[in-house]
Amino acid sequence: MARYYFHIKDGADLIKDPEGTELSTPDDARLQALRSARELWADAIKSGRELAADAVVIADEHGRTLTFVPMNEALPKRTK
Amino acid sequence: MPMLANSPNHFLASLSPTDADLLRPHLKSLTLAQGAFIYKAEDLIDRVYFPHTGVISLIVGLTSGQFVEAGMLGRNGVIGAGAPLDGSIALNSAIAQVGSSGITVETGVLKHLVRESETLRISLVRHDQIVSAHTQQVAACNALHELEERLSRWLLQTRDLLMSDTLPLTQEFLSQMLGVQRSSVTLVARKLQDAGLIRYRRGRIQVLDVEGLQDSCCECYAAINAHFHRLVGWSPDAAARHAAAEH
Repeated sequence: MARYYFHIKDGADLIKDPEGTELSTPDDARLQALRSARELWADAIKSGRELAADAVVIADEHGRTLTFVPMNEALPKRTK
Repeated sequence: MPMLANSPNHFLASLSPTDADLLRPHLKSLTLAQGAFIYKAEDLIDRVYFPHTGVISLIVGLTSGQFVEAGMLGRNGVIGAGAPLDGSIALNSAIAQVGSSGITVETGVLKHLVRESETLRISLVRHDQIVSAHTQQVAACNALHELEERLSRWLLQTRDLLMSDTLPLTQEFLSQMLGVQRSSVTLVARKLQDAGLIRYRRGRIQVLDVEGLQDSCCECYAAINAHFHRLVGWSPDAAARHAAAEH
């Protein structure tokens, strides 16, 4: 178990997660970031507002960026 | 035992002198740490809890392990009011969202007492009804209102119960209670902070602008308060005035 922080990159601004979440593996963290990104899209679409995020940034408890999920990656694919 | 009329708990403070006398020999103290359960779904509710302080969340658990808050109570209500009225099996789980202390009375004792006192029975019915009214409104709110409005309502309700602008809560906890992803709370909290309504840091949210939050929240805050006023005669302003008189 480790503590992962899910910050939101919005242009030059980094909106920080103040507490983080305990998760088992880096893969779990990536899945969490993807789920978060999908919900950010969904809320923006439903409310008709602009999406105020470029990416969900995953950092460790020392503040080091581990990876990030660009918002576009979280969009569903159209299959037909 | 102190006079029940001065009790921090609204149910106890509202008892008639006769009903207060009936209850007084059976009161026990209870303290709950943050995160402690009063009961879990399908438990037998063996004691009824009248909080003085803190916040109790009524939560619904799903088989995935997720849970969502259906309502919150504290000094304004009763946890397990339905148990003495023959509803002894818990319909949901009750967890101390913020550490709480208060008074318990055994369900078995109250079952006997409600047969002796119709006014006591009616008070418990009303406090059981307020849970229904509250959770129904929250269900509508969760279905139709946006996170910013829901969070504003939630912060105001918690502030009313704690009677403090300092809410010792994590955003992680908020995301679970509201049934949303972690980052959605991050984004909305930042928006409320940028608007000067709150200030947050690790594990703590400070309410800065109550009127601003009231403007930001949905109609459900007023609706829930209207139910409390109509059913059990409690309103947040009265609680704040009572607290001011205590200091």
